Amino acid sequence: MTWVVHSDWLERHFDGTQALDLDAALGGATIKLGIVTESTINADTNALYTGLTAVSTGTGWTGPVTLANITCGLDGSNDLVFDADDPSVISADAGSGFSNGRSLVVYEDTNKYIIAHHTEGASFGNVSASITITMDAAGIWKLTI
Amino acid sequence: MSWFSKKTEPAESKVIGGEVAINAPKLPLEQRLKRAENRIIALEKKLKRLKERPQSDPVWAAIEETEAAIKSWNKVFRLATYEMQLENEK
Repeated sequence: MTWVVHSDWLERHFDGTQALDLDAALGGATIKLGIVTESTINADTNALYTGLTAVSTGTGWTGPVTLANITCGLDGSNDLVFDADDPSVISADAGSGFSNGRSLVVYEDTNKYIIAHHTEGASFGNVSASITITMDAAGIWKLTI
Repeated sequence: MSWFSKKTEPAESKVIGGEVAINAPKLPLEQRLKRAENRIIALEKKLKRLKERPQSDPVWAAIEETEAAIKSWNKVFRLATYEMQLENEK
């Protein structure tokens, strides 16, 4: 299953109203990963992370995490690639974990615009086991030119 | 093998989302090697851009973090390379 890039954010990024420093080389954007309960997210109309329903927090999942070492640059084929390190493993939390996670959301933290989302085929959670999120070897998304 | 679709010719501009997996088995060795290689290349480019900034710029604080990340991915790369050598020797 792939990340679905949000068209509204993309437009805002390139028209300058939501232009982000996507590799933070100028000290810019903080990009976060959240977990929400929605089984359907529209990449054209669901613009803000705050419009979605976040899963409950506990000791294992304390809320959206900042993606570390974000990068945005040309790869060997001159395609523009956005990437980050895999997030840390979310530890199991029998007492206060969640079981109704359905989608992952990557968003910028200042105005909460969604950059991309991914929806699983079934609910997932950390009540009975930890959660490991693995990114693609080739990045979160790329713009082929 | 990339998880992305191949670029078509003539060139067609598009934004393509990469794969993401929850609780998947560990990435295959070749994918881990490729991921580490790609991360190192991207982070080294970022480091170069960071170092182009004036030393008075607050982003210089990110240099150490980026250098540490490159070291960490280099370890992953070396480990995956070693595993691949072992596989090839079998």
